[in-house]
Amino acid sequence: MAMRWVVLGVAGSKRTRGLRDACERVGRPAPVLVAWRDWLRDPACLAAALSAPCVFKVEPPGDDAEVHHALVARGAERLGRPVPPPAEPGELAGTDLWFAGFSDAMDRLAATLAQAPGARPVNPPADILAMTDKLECQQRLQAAGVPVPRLLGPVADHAAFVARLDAAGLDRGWLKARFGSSAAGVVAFRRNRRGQVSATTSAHLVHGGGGAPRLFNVKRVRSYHRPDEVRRVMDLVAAQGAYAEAWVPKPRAGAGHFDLRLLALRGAPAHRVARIGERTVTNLHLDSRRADPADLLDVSEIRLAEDTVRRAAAVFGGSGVIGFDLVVHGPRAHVLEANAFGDLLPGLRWGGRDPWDAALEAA
Amino acid sequence: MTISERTERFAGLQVIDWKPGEPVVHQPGQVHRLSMDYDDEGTMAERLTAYLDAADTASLQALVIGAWGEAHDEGPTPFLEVLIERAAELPALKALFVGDMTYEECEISWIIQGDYGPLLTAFTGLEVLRIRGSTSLELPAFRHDALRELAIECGGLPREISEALGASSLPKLETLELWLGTDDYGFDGDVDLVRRVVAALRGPALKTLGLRDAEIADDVAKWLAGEAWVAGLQKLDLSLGTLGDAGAEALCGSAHVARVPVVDLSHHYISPALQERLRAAVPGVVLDDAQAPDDEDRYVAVGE
Repeated sequence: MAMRWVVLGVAGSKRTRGLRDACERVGRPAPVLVAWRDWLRDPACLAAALSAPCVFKVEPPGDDAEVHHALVARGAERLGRPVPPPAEPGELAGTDLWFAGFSDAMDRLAATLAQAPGARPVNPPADILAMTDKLECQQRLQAAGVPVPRLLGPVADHAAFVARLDAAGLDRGWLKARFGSSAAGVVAFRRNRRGQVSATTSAHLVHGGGGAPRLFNVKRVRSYHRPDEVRRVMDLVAAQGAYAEAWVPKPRAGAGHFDLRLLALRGAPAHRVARIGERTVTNLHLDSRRADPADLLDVSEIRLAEDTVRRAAAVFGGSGVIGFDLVVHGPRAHVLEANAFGDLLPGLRWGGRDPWDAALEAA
Repeated sequence: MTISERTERFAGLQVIDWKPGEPVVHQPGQVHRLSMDYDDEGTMAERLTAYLDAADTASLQALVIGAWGEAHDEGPTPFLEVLIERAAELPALKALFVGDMTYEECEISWIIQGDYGPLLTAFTGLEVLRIRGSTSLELPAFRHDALRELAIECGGLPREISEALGASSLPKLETLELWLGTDDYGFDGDVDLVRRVVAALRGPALKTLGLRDAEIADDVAKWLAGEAWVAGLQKLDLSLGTLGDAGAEALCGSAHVARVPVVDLSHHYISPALQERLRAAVPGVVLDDAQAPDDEDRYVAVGE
């Protein structure tokens, strides 16, 4: 008898549909969906769903604006700060409050799971939390000897970021939002000795009618060159919690460069895709092209990527599904990010199975 | 995706990366690219020296130089001097590309170039020269009796370069490709200046004319539409620029342009109705990558 699946997710999302379709393909009952918004209003509904033996998967709260604001409000309460007005769609604001609320949710989830011995989480809440804090995640990987780009530490604003570059003797680097998701709040910064600067990012600065400047996350990467705009963008990202990281060159493919998304299923490297971008940020949804890594890397480089992912996955040994972003370039591999929700790779197959088919089988 | 999409070509050859320590072996039809990563130690002059030491220099026909260390701050002069010093060892070198860098490696407007006068003097047999980047680029007025193809890719072509080209003589020139760019990135010319450059360099051999990435694309198109010699071209390339209906209208009405086998207008701001008319009037027209005008602003494809 196949184990029942329970998902904490967002109704109608690509993720929940992907898993439901995979269940259908193998004749399993559809997963039981507990919506984030329902759980936040009524914690008992999840406890009831988890009371019988099941596999339990947490999906991200996603684009549900109500859930986002509920988490921000909960985070504000936890940090003793005022609750900001709800963010507009796509607005990059209050991610530190959101993360505090998300932490609270993961703590509650862990408590619920402690009372539900028959529920087996795909990824435990503590791991999900550690991977959602990108700095914490990189520090853990580094401490375990997994190669990551050189970490230059947390920074509170543009000036602090530049000071870190100065101290490290660098003329380029990344500012990364600590609590962002995918490419949100990631800024590639460069400067030259003629005093020019550039910031390449999917965070767009919007000056709304006399109000303070705000950031919106969009799907098109752009570059800022005016020093005042570069500073403002980076200040707004850093105010929500950010860190500086050294720039690791990505290998070239045509007129662009690529990195890899490699999925670890129960610690073993599985689905993989190369993401070729022409504008520095290669995350999949930002106009990048997909390619088969086997067409771009030789056998030894693929093996290096797999070994690196194995070692990185062991750092989160309790987690069954992790998406790793990494750069493999000649004899070196660096893990850029571990993503507890990194399996949204529709249509990507490994051993004939898409990520949801494979997750069902691995569980 | 297939391997071929990864492939780039230069001077009809497939570009292959060469890494220090590897033997220098050319398969037929290949050219090596020497390129340094952002965090590589050493200089391109050292890397080039090692490459030439390992190569059969007498038969080396082509070379691509990609990113050199800190190309956003340092120019190519040190490694161009290596080539110049060893010019006598390189009698077959016919094709050179300096600056094959991506946006990630260095924004095109930040690439520091150098003075190409000494190189052109030393390599009298050079047939193809492609340069990416125009910051600090220097070019004297020159005469070269072998050059078949000259290309300068940049975000903005400075007036001094155009003036020098307008006083040059290249009797064998078959392909001229200039990226005019925008005034934000150093373009300070106008269509009259471009006209003078083309008048100076247009000989009987000219088959391909590219005036690309131009914010004055409409003016360029209006001028070219009235030039009878255009009918003798094999390819007219006005791609990557801000061509709109005004320029398209002129091209539509030109019997000269209609006779050119390939008229590449890719990355354009031409309205659907005029695109239809162009297709009917100019059989060789290529209209890929149509841009949606955003608040009446138009952008060239490659600026920063």
